[in-house]
Amino acid sequence: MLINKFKMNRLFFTGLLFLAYPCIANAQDTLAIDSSYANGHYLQRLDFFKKMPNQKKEIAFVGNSITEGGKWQELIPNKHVVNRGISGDVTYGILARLDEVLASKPLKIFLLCGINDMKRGTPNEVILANYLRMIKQIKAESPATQIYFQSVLPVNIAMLPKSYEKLSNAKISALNEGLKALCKAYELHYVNLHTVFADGNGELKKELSIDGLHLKSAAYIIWAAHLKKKHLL
Amino acid sequence: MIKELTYSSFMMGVVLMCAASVKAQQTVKIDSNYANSYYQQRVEYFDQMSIPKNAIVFLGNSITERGEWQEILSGSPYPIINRGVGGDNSFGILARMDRILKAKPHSIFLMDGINDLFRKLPNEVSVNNYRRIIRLIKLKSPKTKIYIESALPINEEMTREPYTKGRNKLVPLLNEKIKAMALEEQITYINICPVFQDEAGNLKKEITPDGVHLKASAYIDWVAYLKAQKYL
Repeated sequence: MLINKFKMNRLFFTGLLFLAYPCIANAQDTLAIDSSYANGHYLQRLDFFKKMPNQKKEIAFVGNSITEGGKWQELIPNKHVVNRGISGDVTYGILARLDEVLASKPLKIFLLCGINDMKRGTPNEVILANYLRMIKQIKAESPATQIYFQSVLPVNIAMLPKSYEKLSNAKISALNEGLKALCKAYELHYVNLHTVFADGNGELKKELSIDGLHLKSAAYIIWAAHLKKKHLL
Repeated sequence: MIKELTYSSFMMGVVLMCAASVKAQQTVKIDSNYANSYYQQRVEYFDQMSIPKNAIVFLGNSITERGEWQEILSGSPYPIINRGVGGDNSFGILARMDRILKAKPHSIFLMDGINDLFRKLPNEVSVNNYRRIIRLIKLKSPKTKIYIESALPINEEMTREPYTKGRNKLVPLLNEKIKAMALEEQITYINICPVFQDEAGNLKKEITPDGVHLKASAYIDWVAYLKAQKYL
């Protein structure tokens, strides 16, 4: 279910697959967008989120495995920090659960997502459209919430397993440019994490990463320090 | 990386105290390896994060690491600290106690066991490691309350890995020995199994994603049980 992107022409020859994976694609598009998200891990994490009571002044870290892997409460003590990361999640999955995050009317939301969409081959324009839907939903349902949209982290191509072959730092940079423009247009905080995580060549710093995409535990200390330094926490 | 130790080298090695229970002629295969890359990068993090005073520390392997303890225990008068390391075993926990004890925690909840069973460590070796962990706590942080929890059962119908097979029946045997050791050491043993096992003694299907680990919501029940028993 993870890599379900097929060229349309290939889909026509594989009728079964075409039926099995409904796609969102306009007529001109040769890409089939895989918007699936409700896997076992997603469902059990969401079940937990829904069972947890809303706290006052929540600071919600929302995203995929990169967010889930952070021990945010330990890094940011004495605040009502909640980890709303779900490993493997895509922008479609986040959109589908944003209401749970917004139910507490959080003080702040730190978003970081998009890399799993890119891994599936979803075009940047589609990811950006989903970012915009997130922004609009947050503003509509919890207008006082401060939105911090974080840049998609660079990857380290040499370290990446083959399943990530659709990722490139050029695509990530282009996506971040689009995100930055979006943040400017909607007057919210764009957090550029490349300044801490990218090396001189724009690759994810080798010493901070496990596999070219995910971060070592110690890298989150640097991340949290950066947010503190920028007075975002 | 697996060390084959004969009885004589075993006697001279690190596992002195459990040697008595091993027959002289037997070749015992003790895999004391723990410092894999995941462990090392977690310890690198621990080294940079000093534990606040009066903390409640959850100590163990991936089952502990994956718990959202801080959120579930939000509002606790004591800071909640997660010191779980995915894949860790009793040797690995022992080797990282110093950093934890430096902070003189309010209490430590230790849960371990399944990774020791996966690598076929004799119960005596695991329990001896737990005893060494407990004695270290008593020595270096005598005021810390020590809770040792039973190892969790697994559900072998759901697990795929060969190293998990035939292990669930060993869990109660290990737990009996942990319980006896806790009694000798005069510390609290918490039998957590009633919360998580079905009538056949397997990890309840509906609370596990893979037969070994717990779904996020299961930790809510875990904490509720610790509270109901007045351990938290």
